[in-house]
Amino acid sequence: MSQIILLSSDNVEMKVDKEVAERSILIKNMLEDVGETPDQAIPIPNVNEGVLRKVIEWCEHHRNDPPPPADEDSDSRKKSTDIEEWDQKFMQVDQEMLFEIILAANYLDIKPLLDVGCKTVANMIKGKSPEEIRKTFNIQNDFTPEEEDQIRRENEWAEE
Amino acid sequence: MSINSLPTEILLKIFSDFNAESIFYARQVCRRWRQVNESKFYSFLEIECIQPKNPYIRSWPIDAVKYSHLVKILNLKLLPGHESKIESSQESLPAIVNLIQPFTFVRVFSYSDDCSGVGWGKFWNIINSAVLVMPLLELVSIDRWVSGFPSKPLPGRELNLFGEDGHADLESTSINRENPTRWQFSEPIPIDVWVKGDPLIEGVSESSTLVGGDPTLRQRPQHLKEIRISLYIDKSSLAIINPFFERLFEIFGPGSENNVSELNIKLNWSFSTHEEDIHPLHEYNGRTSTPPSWKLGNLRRLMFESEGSYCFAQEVAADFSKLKWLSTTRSNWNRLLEDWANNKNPGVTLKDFQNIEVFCLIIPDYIGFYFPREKSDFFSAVLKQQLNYFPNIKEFRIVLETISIYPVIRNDQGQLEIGKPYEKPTATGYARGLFKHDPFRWTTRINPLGHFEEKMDWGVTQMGML
Repeated sequence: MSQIILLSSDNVEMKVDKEVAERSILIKNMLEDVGETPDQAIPIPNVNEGVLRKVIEWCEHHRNDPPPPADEDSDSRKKSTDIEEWDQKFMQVDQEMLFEIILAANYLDIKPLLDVGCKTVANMIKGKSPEEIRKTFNIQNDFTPEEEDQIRRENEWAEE
Repeated sequence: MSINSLPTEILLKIFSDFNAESIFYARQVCRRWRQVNESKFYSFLEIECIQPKNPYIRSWPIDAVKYSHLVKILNLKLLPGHESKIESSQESLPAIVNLIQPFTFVRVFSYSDDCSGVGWGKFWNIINSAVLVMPLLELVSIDRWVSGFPSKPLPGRELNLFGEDGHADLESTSINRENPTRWQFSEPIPIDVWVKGDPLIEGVSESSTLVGGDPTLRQRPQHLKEIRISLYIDKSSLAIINPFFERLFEIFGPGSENNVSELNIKLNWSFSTHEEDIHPLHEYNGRTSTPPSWKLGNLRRLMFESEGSYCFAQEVAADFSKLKWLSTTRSNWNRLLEDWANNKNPGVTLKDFQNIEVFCLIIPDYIGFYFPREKSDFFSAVLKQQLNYFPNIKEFRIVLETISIYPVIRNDQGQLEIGKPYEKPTATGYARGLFKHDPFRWTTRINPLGHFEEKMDWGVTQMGML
């Protein structure tokens, strides 16, 4: 099986099975454009070593998965609570790594990984009050007094 | 790196399957989240109009009218007022029509009027106005509940010919002729005039005139895919069905017969013609019905529930080979079988129902009382008889006090068999799988706090009160 070399943003080379690397649509298209397996390392400028290793780990595990449906809105799209057990464990990382994985999946065009990342974050938000969400993600409350007033009125309405 | 370092497209993806409750709270976290969720938050608007007050009482989100260009799903609910059952006039109609004018980008329009006394004239004008101002409509859901409680004139009030709930009181036999503006309605009137709307209520000279223009002079919505209809009609008759659809298709335009995908008809307290001032246009098969002039070409779900032994295939003209879901009472179903055996249903045979996957048999509560103790075996035997009619059946349902679901499986010899049933705790419409509790395929119909809204089931409620 042919292998390719990926070069992280911090200049670390990683050897990967071509089939695994092709879970990334960006890399797959790149390889198809080149026409043959390149000898030189393919630079991945936006992804550092740690994140790239995690992404490759995910691609290794999912190397035999069927391709995702093209239609984003198709009924086959699972609800956010439906995350496979292995993926759930895979995503048990600190928030910085989680967001880095999401960004990398977005950049490398690995839709299933992006979905899992977004679902994980969505599950961290659901069922929480605004204050709890702020605490969870260390978000500053930057509303103006007028906006606070509007929010208060919305809450009053909802509680009727 | 923090969550707000993520680009907007990814934040949108994270929020993409949030329900209204989660969106509601997410918008209160910070300015960016509020901004990102704006279009989603305002894409669904629910307006509640309390009858007979001025309609703009409550809407959700509260300031959505300002963001009307973002509204994709509009749910208009006309609710009964508590202080008075009398709908004095149609004053609120222009206000409702004006209210929906800005929502020109709506894709899904849902109308419901649970027992709120909305007369036919008002109803048709609202539907017509919606079609007129919403050229991008893809799905229309109509949930119409018409009641006609006895309408004796109250002291000091005019006779209310339209019933305390605003519906023509089809059972009134003594009509006060002293009121010169009203006496004409004691004359025999074809039933379709009642259904089409009343000129006095409209405040216009022709009963067919609609606010917002003549439907025949404009194009139907170009992207319309589905019309889902639920009619709960008290003290009325099947004769309403035909003029209802004639009017509906007049408004939605030619070809809209093929857009009706779901139809739910529940009739209570059928009336008898010889006691009424209502005269049918034609005698049809000994009953007060006119042969349908339309045919639903793409009906997927049908629920037909009436007291009395009616044959739904005679009242609802449809290409039944498209039907996947049929829900009806045992007496209605038996009537179809009898009519079929006696060759009384021209153009409809049992073979037309071969694509049905779910068949739901509704058993009236009072009959259930007499069933043997082991109902499950009895129902299995009843359903076994039906297997011949439905070669593609996947599930039978029996609705009594609870709903029992009987999976249908194919055995090793390739024959269909009734599986072991399991029960659901309620026999409400939601348990029967009716669409009207979840009218939007593309979203979930929830109130701002995220709970499903259950429509009151009169039968169950009354039994419960006893």
